[in-house]
Amino acid sequence: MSEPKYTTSARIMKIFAYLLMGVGMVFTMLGISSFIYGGIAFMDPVYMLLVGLMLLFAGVPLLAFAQQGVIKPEFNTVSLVRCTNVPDCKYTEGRKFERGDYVFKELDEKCKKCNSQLIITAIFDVEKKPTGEQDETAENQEEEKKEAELPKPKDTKNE
Amino acid sequence: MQGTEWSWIFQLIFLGFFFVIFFYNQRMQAWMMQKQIERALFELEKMNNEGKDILVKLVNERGKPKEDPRPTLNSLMDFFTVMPVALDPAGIINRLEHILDIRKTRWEWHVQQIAPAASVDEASNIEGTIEAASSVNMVYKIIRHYLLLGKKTKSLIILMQVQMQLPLIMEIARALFQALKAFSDGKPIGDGIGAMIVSALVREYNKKSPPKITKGYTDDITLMELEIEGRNAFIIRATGAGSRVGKPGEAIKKLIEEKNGNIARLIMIDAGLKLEGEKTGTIIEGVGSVIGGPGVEKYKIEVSAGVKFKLPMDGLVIEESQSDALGAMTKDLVNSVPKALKILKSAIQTRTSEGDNVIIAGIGNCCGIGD
Repeated sequence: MSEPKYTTSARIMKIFAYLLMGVGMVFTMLGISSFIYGGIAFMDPVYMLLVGLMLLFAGVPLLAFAQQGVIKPEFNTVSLVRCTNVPDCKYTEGRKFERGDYVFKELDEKCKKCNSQLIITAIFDVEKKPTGEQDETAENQEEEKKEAELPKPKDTKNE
Repeated sequence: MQGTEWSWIFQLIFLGFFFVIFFYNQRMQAWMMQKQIERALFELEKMNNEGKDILVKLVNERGKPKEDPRPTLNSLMDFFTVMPVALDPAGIINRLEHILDIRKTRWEWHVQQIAPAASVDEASNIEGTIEAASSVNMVYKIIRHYLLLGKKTKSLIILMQVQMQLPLIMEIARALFQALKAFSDGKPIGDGIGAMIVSALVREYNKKSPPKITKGYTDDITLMELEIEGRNAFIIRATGAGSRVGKPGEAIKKLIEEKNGNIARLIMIDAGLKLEGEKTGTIIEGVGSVIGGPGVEKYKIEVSAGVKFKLPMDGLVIEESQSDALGAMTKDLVNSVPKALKILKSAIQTRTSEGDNVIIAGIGNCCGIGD
């Protein structure tokens, strides 16, 4: 199960709510202790208690509101079109899925490069990325590239 | 006010708080759980209504019904299938198969009635959409039942059981809703990866050896015969591109009997549920009859290929989550196809000899995956 992703405003709101509740808790505790063990000079204990409770109660709805800021992933469906004249022609194209498309469907149109038959080789969902976020697939490709670049173990027989 | 008076007030407040917590703790807990279930139920209701709307739109668009399809669709939402009695387990598989067959025939008849203009593939997709919508409806009704029961009886245990399982239940419901949308659009779902892999294998070798294709070899099953690496390969998969799973077990049984057991190896490819932490699209190998479902097809393979002819059975599983399996196919799964083909070819080359007969079965729902 994947962890829910929150919007930036929801994340800020969540931090703010925890902060408010934390401060409220401190004020409440100080208020109560000042009644029992004697006053703390900077504020009347009653006000301290009131402020504390108010902050505590203010934090709760804010937290509940922040929980609603979960980003629901949106997807685009892509039909991957390829030329059947492999390996001579490597023409590949990603198109928006249309009703009636299916994997291994032979298309009416011909390859723009070699005029051979085009075929849909895959249909899959791709998550829409919010602007500014790095493409995960590009990141994965980078990682794969790095892995491939790792030095291979030496052949001990030749040494 | 003096400090001592305040301390009395706080003592009283504390006692009051203690009293409330002592006597009403469970009520408060139950109330919080109830609110969580209500929120989930609201989401389920939204999915259920949206699913029904998608279904009605699909039937009206593709099927061109003469009458309003809603009454039939509503009755199909609550359609039930009584499983055979297990008190006397002898012959339960045959009884189960019969029940599943009559259920399928009945659904096909209903779909034909409400969508007369739909093509064969579109009718299968409508059938799949109805099934997914009916499952979402069932989840919604069960959660509503337990919520109302918990509220009526004020039982913490009922609410607690539902609330604790809610994340998993909601994941299943969301996956079913994704399946509903995929079937209605005719998109391939993750469960169809097995069928996609075997078709990709056929396409890799079809220039060297054009396959002999037998559609309807058994119920909704296509058989493709071709030469792969010098072996006689028999490829079995459900007929695409509609939402069908067919009876691969029946097809394997029939083929083995036709060849009098002269089959060197049976290789099955299917989607399997991954564990949390595992990557979608990971390929794992094993032995046995790799097929899910109610068990009828698995039984047939185990009896015919296993017990009767003692055939070696290899399995290839493409790991995915429940939402991946029921939802539209993801890129991770598509990327697993070349890797699976490599493993499959290696299995054929290393575990069989030239001239051998090999059965390769791609299991799964073929929605959006052509032959």
